[in-house]
Amino acid sequence: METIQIESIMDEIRREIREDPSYREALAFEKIPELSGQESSAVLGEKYDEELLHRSVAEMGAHFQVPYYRQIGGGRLKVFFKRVLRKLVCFLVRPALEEITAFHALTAASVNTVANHIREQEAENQRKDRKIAELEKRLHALEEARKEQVQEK
Amino acid sequence: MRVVQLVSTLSFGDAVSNDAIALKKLLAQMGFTTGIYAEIIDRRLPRGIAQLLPEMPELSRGDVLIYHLSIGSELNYKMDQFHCRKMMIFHNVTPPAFLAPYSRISEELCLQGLAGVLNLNRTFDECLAVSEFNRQNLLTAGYTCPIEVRPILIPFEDYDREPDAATVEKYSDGWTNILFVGRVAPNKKHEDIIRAFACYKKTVNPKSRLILAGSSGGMELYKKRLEDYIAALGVEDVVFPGHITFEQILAFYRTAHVFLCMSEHEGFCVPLVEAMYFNVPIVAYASCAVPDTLGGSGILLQDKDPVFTAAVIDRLVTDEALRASVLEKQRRRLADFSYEKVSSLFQKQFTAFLKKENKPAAPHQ
Repeated sequence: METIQIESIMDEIRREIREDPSYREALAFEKIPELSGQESSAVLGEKYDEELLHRSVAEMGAHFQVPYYRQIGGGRLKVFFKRVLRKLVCFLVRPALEEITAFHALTAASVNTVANHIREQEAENQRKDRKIAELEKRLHALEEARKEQVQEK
Repeated sequence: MRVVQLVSTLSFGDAVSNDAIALKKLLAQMGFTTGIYAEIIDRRLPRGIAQLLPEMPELSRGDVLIYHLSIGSELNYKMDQFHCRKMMIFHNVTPPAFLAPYSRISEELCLQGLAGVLNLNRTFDECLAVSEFNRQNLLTAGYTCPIEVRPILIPFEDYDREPDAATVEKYSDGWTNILFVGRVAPNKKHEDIIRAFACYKKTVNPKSRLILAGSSGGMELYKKRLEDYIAALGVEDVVFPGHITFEQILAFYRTAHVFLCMSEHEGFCVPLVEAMYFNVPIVAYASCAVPDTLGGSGILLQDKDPVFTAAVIDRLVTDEALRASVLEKQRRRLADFSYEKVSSLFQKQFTAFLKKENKPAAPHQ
């Protein structure tokens, strides 16, 4: 196989391409606005997505707890002051976080139940679809047999 | 002695999970009692492939814990609770800034992930980085333990399965297929791929399509913005097949003419190796671990100029000699990622790790 110098081919392409700055500038992704909060909630969950549902449920199950104690980063002095601050507001914040966690646990359990119900229903629907197809086939065969009997008579 | 792998989430079809699953098989072949434990296990994975974290047995000093780090997790702060030998496999963490506009949860998880990387810098007896780029990241984060590079273990025999016939037929229509495989995520810069493709389609080859295969789970807002971008560009034939079956992925590789990657953050980038396996020439932006993984093969872009990228794609599609040369180099590079080579490297590294003095890791500072 002949030796190909990829770099020289790249240089050749660079020389050959037509300069078209308008094309380069007109197509920036940044010109497409990010979605606002309201639009965001419309996109998320606007239609049934099994993968999204089960992933969200799994994540809810793993992350429903809102821990009060978190790793504190920074230098020694910063860490010290942050710890003091955490201790000071503990009486106020901790019960609130515990209530939030309890509420999250209920929500996660409810959604998980609904997701499992959907899964069971889907399996049941598939089973019924198969049964209907089988019965239709039998019905069709019986109708054909009946037609033949009538014709014979 | 038990060898236990720990991952935050064992997902369906992602590189970290596939690596853990492949290693589990290898560790079992090496004669170890082994298992994978995770906080979350994707329901689509075969039953019994992993257990939930609470089911993990208590580990003793002689056991080995292999922790796959790629995201924020409570596990990042629980490593000191395991009194055994510890090894980390570092897959890298997506910089949170990429995710901030689209998912507060993902951003927070990655922030926690980066904090975890720093927090754990004195915890492990040894680390395996899946690329040299990742190894450098660990050194920057202050890791002082031995760090070896071990690419992701890919069981290529899976790729020899029959591709989805309907997909092969649909996309074998004489059009040029430009492919990217990977989660729809902002660090992967799908917008730059779309932009280059728009230029290619409009100015070079109207009979071309772009296939962006990968799940958009968790990044629905980014995907919506990409769709708006596609509409604003007025470009047609951009396909988002969503999270597809493995057979469909095989079909997309089999019908692809060029693999285009514009990602700005990858710890390894398995799809590049997959493209090598399927003889699809690669055009990729030189960033993060991509140059390491390509190892001199493919065509590396130093900037993202869409006009230049389109011209490179065109040349690769039309110039047989260039295409053959690129593919030849890719085949040579692929040999470095063969299952035999990577599994033997892991066995060597792991055996050497076990032979080292069984001393506890230095306490966290």
